Amino acid sequence: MTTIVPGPTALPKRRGAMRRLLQARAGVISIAFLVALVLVAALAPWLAPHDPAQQSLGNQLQGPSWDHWLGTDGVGRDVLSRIVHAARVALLAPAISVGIAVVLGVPSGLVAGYWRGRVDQLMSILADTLLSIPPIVLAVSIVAVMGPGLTTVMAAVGIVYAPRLFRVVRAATLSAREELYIESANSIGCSSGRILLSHVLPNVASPLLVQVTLLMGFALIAEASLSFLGLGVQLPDASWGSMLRAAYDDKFRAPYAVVPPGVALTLTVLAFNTLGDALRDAVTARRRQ
Amino acid sequence: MTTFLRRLVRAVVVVLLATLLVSAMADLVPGDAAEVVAGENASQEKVEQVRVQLGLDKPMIVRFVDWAGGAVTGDFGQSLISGRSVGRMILDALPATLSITLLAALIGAALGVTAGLVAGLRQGRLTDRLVTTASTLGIAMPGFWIGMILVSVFALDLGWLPATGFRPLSEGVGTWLRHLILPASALGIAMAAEVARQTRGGVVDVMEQSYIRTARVKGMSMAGLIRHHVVRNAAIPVVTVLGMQLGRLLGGVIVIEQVFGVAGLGTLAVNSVLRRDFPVLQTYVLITTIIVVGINLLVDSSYSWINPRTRSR
Repeated sequence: MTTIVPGPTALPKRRGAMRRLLQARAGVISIAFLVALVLVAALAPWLAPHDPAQQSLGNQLQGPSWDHWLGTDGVGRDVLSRIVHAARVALLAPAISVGIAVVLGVPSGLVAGYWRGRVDQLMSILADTLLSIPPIVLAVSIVAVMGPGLTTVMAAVGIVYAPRLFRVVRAATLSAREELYIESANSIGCSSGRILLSHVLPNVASPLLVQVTLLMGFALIAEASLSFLGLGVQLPDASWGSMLRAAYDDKFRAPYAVVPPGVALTLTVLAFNTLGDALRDAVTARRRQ
Repeated sequence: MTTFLRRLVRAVVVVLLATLLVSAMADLVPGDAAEVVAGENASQEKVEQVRVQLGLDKPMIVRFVDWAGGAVTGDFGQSLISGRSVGRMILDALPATLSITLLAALIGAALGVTAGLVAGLRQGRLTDRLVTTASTLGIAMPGFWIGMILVSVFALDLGWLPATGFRPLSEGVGTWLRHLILPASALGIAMAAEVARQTRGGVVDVMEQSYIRTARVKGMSMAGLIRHHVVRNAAIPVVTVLGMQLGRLLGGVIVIEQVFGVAGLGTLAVNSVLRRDFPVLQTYVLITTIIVVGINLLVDSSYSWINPRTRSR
C-alpha cells in the first residue's frame, strides 16, 4: 500500500505563508497581543475597575495603589480604566484611517500602474505633492477644514497615508503587468477590469497587506500626535494621545504620569510593526522558494 | 543631465502644487482672518471693512498669484493677523527649529550608522541583538513621548537640564546646547533607530557576498574591508533612509516644539492654519516642501556618485 505524503508543494501557497507566519515567534506574540487588545476594547465596561469619566476631587494625581493600579489623573479619574476604554479608539482610529487610505490609494494605484501614460503621470505628481508636505501640517490643515474631532482626525490621517499605498500598489502593478499570464489574459479577450481584479490584485495583495499592517502603527502615532495637539478626541472621551496631553500638563506635580498611556501606545505600535515585519518575512520567503 | 532637468522641473511643479493645495484647503475653513483681527464683538460692517483692508474679498487664487509674485522677489507679504513681515517672522522662528532639527539629524545619522555598522559586523552576537532590540523599540516609541520621558527624568527629577524653551546661540554655546539636548534627542532617536536598522540590513547583505570572502582569504584587514567594500556597497539604502528621515524630522519637530514650548517654525505653521493666516502658511509650506523635494533630488543624484554601476540606466 502506498501512502501519499503531501509535500510542501501540495499545500496552497497562501497557507504556506500563513504557516511560516505562525512559526515565527515574534509574529505569534504580536498577534496574541493584538487579539488580547481587541478583547480588552470589547469588554472595556466590564474589565475597567472604575468609571473612566468619574472625577474625584481630593483624589488627584495619586500614585499606584490597590484601588487605582495606575494611579489617578489631574481630576481624580482612574488611569487604568481610561487606558482600557481608550483601547477602543486605539484600534478603531487606525483601522478606519487605514481603511480610507486603502479606498483612496489602492484603486488609483492599480489604474496608474496598469494604464500608465498621462493618467499615471498626473496621479504620481499628486501623490508626490501630498508626500512633500509634512504629514502633521497636511493633517492639521484637513482638521482645520473639517473641525476637530476623532472622525476628522481619522479622515485626515487616511488622506495623508493614501499616497504611500498608491506608490506601493502602483509599483507592484507595474511589475505584475509585464507577466506572461497578463498578456495571455489580454490575448484571449479578458476585460481590463477583470484582469485587474482577478490577476493583478492578487499579486499586489501581499505587499499591500504588509504595508497596511505597518501603516496601522503609523496611524496610531498620528492619531496620538493630533490628539496631543488638542485636535483629536474631545473630552470627556479619552485616547492615549489626549491622556498624554493631560498628563504632560500636570508634569510639575506628577512627572511620571506620562508613563502609562505612552507604554500602552508603544506596545501597540510595536505589535503592529512586528506583525508587519513577520508578514513581510513570510511573504518574501514564499517568493524565494 | 536631461534626467536631472526633468526631475528639477517636476520638483518645481510639486512645490507649487503643494503650496497651492494647502492654501486652497485653508480657504475652505469656515471663517477668516478678518473675524480674528476685528475681534469677537465687532459688527458685521467692521468685519467687512477689515476684510477689504486685508484684501480677503478677492478670490483665493488671485491672492495666491499676488503672493507668489512677491515671493519670487523674496517678499513674502505681511501676516494677516499681526501685520508683521512674514519673512521676519520666519527668520525669527528659524534658529530654534533649525538648531533642533540639525542636532537631531546629527544624532540620528551618527548614532544610527555607527550602531548599524557595529551590529551588522557582529551579526547574531549580543551587540547585534541589543542594537536590534533597541532600534525596534526606538521605531515604535512616539518621539513626543520620548521627549516627555526625557523631561521627566533629566529636567524634573534630576534637574540636570532645562525642561522647556530655546536660547539663541548669542547667549553662549553652553546655554544654547543645554536647551537643545533634550528636544534634539527626542526627535533624533526615532531617526537613529530607523537608520541603524537599515544600515545593519545593508551591512549584513554585503558581508554575505562572495567578494568579502575573497578579500578575507587574501588577508585584508577588517578596517580595509570596511573601508573598501562594506561602506560603499551598503551606502545606497542608508542614504535613501537618511533622506527620508530628514524629511520626517521637519514634520516631527512640530510636535516636539509643542512638548518643549519652543516658538519655532512648527508652532508658527500650526497657528497659521488655525488662524487662516495665508501668507505665513504659504511661506511655511513653500520652504518645507523646497527642503523635502531638494533632499529627494540630492538623494536621487547621489546614487550614481556612490555606486557608479547605477549610472548606465
